[in-house]
Amino acid sequence: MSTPQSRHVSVDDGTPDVELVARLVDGDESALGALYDRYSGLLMALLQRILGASGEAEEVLQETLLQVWKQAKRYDPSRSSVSNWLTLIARSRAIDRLRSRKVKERTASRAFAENPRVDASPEGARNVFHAERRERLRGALAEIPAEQRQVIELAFFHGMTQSEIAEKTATPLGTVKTRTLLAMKKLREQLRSELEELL
Amino acid sequence: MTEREDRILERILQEMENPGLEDPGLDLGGAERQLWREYRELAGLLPYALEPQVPRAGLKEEILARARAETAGEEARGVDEAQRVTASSPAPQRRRPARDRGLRLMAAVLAVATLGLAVFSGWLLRDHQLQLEQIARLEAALVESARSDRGAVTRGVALDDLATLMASAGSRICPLRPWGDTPVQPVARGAVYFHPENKRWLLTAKGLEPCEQGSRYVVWFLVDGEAVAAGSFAADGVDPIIFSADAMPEGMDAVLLTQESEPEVTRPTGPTILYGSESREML
Repeated sequence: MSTPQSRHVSVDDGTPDVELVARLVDGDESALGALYDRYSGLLMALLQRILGASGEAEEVLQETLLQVWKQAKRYDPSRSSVSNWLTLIARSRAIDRLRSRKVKERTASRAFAENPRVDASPEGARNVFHAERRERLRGALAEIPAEQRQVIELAFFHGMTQSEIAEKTATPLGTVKTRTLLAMKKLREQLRSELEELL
Repeated sequence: MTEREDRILERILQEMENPGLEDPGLDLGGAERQLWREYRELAGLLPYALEPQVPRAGLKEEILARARAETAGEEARGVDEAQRVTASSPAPQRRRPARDRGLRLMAAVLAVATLGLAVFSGWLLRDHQLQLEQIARLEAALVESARSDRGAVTRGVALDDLATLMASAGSRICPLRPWGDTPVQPVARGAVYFHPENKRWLLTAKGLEPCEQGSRYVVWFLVDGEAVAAGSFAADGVDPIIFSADAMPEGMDAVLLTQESEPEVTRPTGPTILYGSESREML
């Protein structure tokens, strides 16, 4: 099996993500800047999707990268890829905020597939690697039924529990669980090559 | 395969619902762990479907300045510590030239202070009322506990610890709530009070069912996804429970309370009763 070092090569200066994280451990500020350049667009998209307000999203982006800076030595490549690590830290912090501020209902009605972002960023467009991955993700999501896409959206981007999704969508809890499991299995099949790059 | 895959997937969904939780109570073998990893990576891929959003200009510099300030603060603390402990210890390795440090630190502090002031004032207003309510509830629990005859000596010590924690600047509270979609004990509630510097901590819980013969409640701290046992107790009808033990480990991400039938368990194997991963500073 390929190591993350050999497969997950960045698209900007070629430095592998794991090497950047190793440099963070040594206090290399430029490595943090490189991770920012590489992932801030992705993380901001995620945080704005979850939190809505850009000001709050920026706060969480700062918190996320500072956590990465302070806790880089905790990163374990056997547990997750760097992009996954960053994404899940950011999501975790954003969901915490979302729950603590009780604004879940404010944003939960926006459906994933029905409200695509159209303000494409020049930096994002330049990032060929991310752009290609985005297209593959969108293609995979388009392949699954809308009701399955909806449960994934509500669970991941709104931090809703399966019970909350059932209540919100007026669907039996068992059906919600079945839809979620089916969606994840289908996505795994469709994104197998993508996952192999990360493992 | 399907049953195992479903179990792994349900685990992933639980992690989505409870950020910070990582595989406590699930002893994954090689193939299962690989599957868990794949689905975890799959979840992390979902944001790639979104159009990238460019942060505002200057944000990167602010983040780097804050990182610099963190480093400078750590170095300053390291110097203080070294001077306190032993004058002969080798000095910690410097990341920045010494003459730049003062200016960098000053610039970073100014940047952080400017950013922080606006956020902090809003935060204070919002959390003040919540914390007052929490303190009122605790005072009621203290009075109720003081009236109880059972375990009066131990509880007296715990109450003293709780009062000390509540009065200490920087103490934090982590609420504990019933775990999962169908909680084992849905009416149970709790909280862990701790001080991030001196590592003192104390757990309070209300509504726990009495333990069956031989079983105990075990407190676990999650550190880097690993569960560290922090102590155990039997809820023999005392309510609320007030419990404290040794120092909290460094880097605690979440707290679990499980009910275990084996006295010397090293990993959570029984049902998870309470869970909490969010903490906030008390007034």
